Amino acid sequence: MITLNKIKLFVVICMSLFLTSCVTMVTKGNKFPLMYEEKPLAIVVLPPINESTAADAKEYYSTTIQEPLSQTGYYVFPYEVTSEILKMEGIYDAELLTNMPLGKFREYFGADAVLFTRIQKWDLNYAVLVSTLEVSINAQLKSTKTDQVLWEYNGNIVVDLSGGNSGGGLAGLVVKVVVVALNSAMADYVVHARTANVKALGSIPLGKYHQQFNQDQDIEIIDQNPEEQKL
Amino acid sequence: MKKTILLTILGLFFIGCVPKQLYHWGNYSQTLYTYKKEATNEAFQAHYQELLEIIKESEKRTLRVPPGVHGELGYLQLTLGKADEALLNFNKEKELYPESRVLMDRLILKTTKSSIKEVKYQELGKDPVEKEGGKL
Repeated sequence: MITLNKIKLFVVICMSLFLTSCVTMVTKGNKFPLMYEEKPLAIVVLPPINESTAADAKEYYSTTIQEPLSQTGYYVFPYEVTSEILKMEGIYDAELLTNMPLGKFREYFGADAVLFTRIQKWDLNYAVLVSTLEVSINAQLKSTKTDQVLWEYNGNIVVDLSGGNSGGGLAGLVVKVVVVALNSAMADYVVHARTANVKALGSIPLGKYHQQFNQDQDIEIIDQNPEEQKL
Repeated sequence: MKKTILLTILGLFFIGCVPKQLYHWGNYSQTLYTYKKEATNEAFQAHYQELLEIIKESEKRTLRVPPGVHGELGYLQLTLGKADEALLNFNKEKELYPESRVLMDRLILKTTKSSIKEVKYQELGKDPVEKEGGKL
């Protein structure tokens, strides 16, 4: 039976889990008021700017962003199509667009907002016990009406690659390491890239296709202070 | 007041735990990544099939087909020269997601133009352009 005490204990555990990594909390509504004002719906994801040492980071990012972003309730233009069109226009990454007025994207694609991403770190760390993917990204959703930043994410995400079907003592451990090594060379690593993207999108106000659209202003998120973020 | 805060935090925690998914994306990321990594014919086919599978599975689960899937499928069909199928998918995307209209109309225009070229090249009697947007 679930007693009140157990519930209390659970709540405390949840709270502590939730609070371990945080400094200040802020509501989505206070942090990203323009999102609720403008209510963007259609988003163009631009090819990311890769500043990391991993040559394939760009591909990993761009093939795994569309899915989690759409799940938050936005219309995401098919990246394969929009990036091809941009390529034809000579735009291979967003570097070329940072200071360009974004109204063009409204005109050309019918987009309400544009997602800019800078991949600062994309490190795969192998170790016997814990293998991780460490991703550092700066993402900005900018309005095509006003060029203003509507939503922003700035941070470091660590994904544990050794999760999943583990167990089996030392033998299991060895298998696990081999699996991680194999996976990282193959497409399965995509799952972890997607997890990183899901985490990065955690603070975005939900979009029109989501049930909780326009109802999440009071949800508290970790206040990201870019100045404090640099460790 | 305290209760609301606790509930909010609990709620937040659960949202993170059990994400209720709006769409079925199947193995989209995997097949697309494999194709981007090495653009072999095999990888292309796998991704193409995956898009068809996503549409089928979404219908089965009575979910809306994810944003962009019909558009992307149409685009691949366009590169394969399957103009009729491409047009169907561009229109489907527009129907499902009216906000995609500007881009889809652009692609529809491109498709009808390229099939004009194709018809001229092949000097075929039947004209697929007449069916859709022939006056463009």
